[in-house]
Amino acid sequence: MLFHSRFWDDIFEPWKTDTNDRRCETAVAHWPVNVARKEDEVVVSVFAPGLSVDKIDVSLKGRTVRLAFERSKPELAEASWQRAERVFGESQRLVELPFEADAARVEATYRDGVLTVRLPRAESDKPRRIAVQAAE
Amino acid sequence: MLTMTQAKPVTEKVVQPPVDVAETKDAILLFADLPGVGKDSVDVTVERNVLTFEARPRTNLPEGFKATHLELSPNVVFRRSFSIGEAVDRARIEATVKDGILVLSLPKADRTRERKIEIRT
Repeated sequence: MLFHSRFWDDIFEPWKTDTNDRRCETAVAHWPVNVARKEDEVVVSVFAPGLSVDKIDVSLKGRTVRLAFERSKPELAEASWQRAERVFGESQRLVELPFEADAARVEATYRDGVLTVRLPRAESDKPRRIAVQAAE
Repeated sequence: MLTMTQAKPVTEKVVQPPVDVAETKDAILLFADLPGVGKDSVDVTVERNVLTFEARPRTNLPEGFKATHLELSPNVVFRRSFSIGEAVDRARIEATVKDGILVLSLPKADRTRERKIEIRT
């Protein structure tokens, strides 16, 4: 597969984790990421225009979601480039979630150059209320 | 009595998006990264010799969600201006937006287009 040529664990090594709730660490700074949550669901948006869907790879490991993609430069016949500020090639963003997500229920969509991933909390990760019984 | 009015976004944050420019035989093509921008939310204007595009990305959240990390502010406005010379045929400028990329096609005015002159024998 496209993005799995590198060894998984290498990617996680340079990671730092904030102690507050804004736990996002960037590998590449070009693609802004917004994160929003409600109690049992997180929405991650990556602003990365001009991708084709088959070059987007979303994967989950533990509490980390990895959004990897490759952007190719448009090929123009008989054109000369006068200015080239945009970034192309492989990139990724990693986002640490506040809970464990249910991989089977993750939904990813790409629209208007924004990759949006909805990650519901896994049932097994939800806190369970324990009934307290009065001792006799 | 005090009346409360709806709060407006206080400040807009202007961001200059990255742009590529290519020249072909007949036109100048400009590509701008405008993630979150659909085709109905871009304004392209030409005033004298200044071409400006402006767009607001869609950053709204699904209902019930609160932002916990924002790298692209909801107040962002993508805006950039370029000066264009007489060489551009203003009447035929075209703009398209797809997958968050604005493509502007600035056709060269006829007289500046390269012309092939046939040599007769």
